[in-house]
Amino acid sequence: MLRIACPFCGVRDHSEFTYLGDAEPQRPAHQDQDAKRWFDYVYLRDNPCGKISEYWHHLHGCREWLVVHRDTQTHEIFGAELARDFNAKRNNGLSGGIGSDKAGQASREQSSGLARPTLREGGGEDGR
Amino acid sequence: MKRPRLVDARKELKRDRPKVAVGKRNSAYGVFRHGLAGNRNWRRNWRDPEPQESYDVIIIGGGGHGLSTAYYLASQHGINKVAVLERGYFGGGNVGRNTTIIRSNYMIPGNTLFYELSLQLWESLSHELNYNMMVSHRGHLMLAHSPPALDALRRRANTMWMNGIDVEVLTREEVRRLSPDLNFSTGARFPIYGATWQERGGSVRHDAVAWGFARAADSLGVDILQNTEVTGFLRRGDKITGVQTNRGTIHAERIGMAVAGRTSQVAAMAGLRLPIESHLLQAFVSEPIKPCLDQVVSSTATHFYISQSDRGGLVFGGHLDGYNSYSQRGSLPLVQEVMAQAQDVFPPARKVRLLRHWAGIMDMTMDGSPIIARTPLDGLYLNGGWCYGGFKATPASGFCFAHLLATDESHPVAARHTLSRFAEGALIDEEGTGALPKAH
Repeated sequence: MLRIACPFCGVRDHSEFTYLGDAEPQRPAHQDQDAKRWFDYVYLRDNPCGKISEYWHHLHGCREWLVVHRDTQTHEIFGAELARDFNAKRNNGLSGGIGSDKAGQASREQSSGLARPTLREGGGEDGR
Repeated sequence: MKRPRLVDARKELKRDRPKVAVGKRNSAYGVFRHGLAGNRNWRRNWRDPEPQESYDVIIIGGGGHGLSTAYYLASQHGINKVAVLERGYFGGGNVGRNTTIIRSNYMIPGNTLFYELSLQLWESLSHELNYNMMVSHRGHLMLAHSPPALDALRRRANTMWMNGIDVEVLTREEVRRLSPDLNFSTGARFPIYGATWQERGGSVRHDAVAWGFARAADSLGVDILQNTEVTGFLRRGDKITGVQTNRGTIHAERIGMAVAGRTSQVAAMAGLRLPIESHLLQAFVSEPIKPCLDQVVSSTATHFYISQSDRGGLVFGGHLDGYNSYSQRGSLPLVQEVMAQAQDVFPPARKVRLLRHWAGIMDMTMDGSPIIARTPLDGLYLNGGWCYGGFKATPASGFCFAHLLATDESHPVAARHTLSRFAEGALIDEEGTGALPKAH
């Protein structure tokens, strides 16, 4: 059993979590039409043998998305943080990616057709 | 009405292929004689050669797929200036870590005929290689636990039938007559509504597969180089011209990777990123008990599968552990899950003690189907991404990979298993779960 230190709930069994996978690939911007970038994001993986940062969802707990830093060979866990913190750090203080309220809000607005045109033209506003 | 076979191994195998010249080494009399002499005088079954400077073809990976590729290169294509490079000892990876099941009940075009070719090759393989692999066509039952699941199995059976593959759909009572110890109680968590029955399915002694292919390939002139680890590729522009190993540099016209589980690492040495993640799949074996389960049984709802080995142990397994790993060490929550499934699907397992369990590293691709294809680099070819289907595919995998390496053209039954299919959207997504490797 892996024991994951959830920032909210403390150390918990990994059976409380669901797994998504490598957190390194970054989702292209919603309006990005470059097929190569989408292909890389959806399909290609480094699949490291060693240290990896990966998304886990504390489904049977606080339901937060976490990024867990782990070794794929020894299963040693080096720490866990909120996914939005991880993505904010990665994107120089700007939020975005899984666990980001802002990204969720933006995509909800876009899918409901309520997005203001400026939001699209701003490009990079969401930091990706 | 019987449908014509759309793929026929008897026609695929060349008539004038060389015979494996290992005939008289291991006879029943020899076993007796060596037994009397304390088993001290057995001869080696294969050479232990020094690496040459160059080969026509190098195959990286001395597992089932690498060795079968080498054998078919020599026997089908007359190419025997071949080296198989193995980092450890050959047959030490997944060919000895599976649950030994063979079957060909796949539904998605691409997989259906490929696995059927494999099953047909299994049928004559012991004779072909003159090595007893204990291929047992004990039959494969795939259980449906709800009426819709039975409908789905019927659809799969129809697809198989249209491809000339024999399969029957059985009712609950027919399944009970065939395998009475499965769970037919009223309180079953997974009630049995029916099943598909493929009589030619079964199991094979997996170590013998590696040994048989190795001995046959060796007798046809293939160099099997153990303890030879590839540490890098030699590159000229976009062409791969050889490999660096811990035993020196070796050149080759064409190089094939057959290192499922570690494909990402080997490919990374050539600068390739692949649509593959490495996951753990566990297998379990119980203490030996008297014969009680005559078939290979799998369950659609749970991903659970079970059979009984010739030694008497129940051999079974279930899902992936669920997170990326190279540890070859299974986790306990999955042990618990699989034990629960075992007890429900096959109640006699409740009284049986577990002997051991182990894990293999699976190349899980983004659509759950394998890759036998060219890479973007000239001279470098990829055989990998075997997910759950690696062992049963061993002969066809080698057969098609040898065809690709020898002719630079995909074999027709493996023509869809390209690396470019992910970018083209031509996925072979048997489970329909999308680009989420742990879900296949």
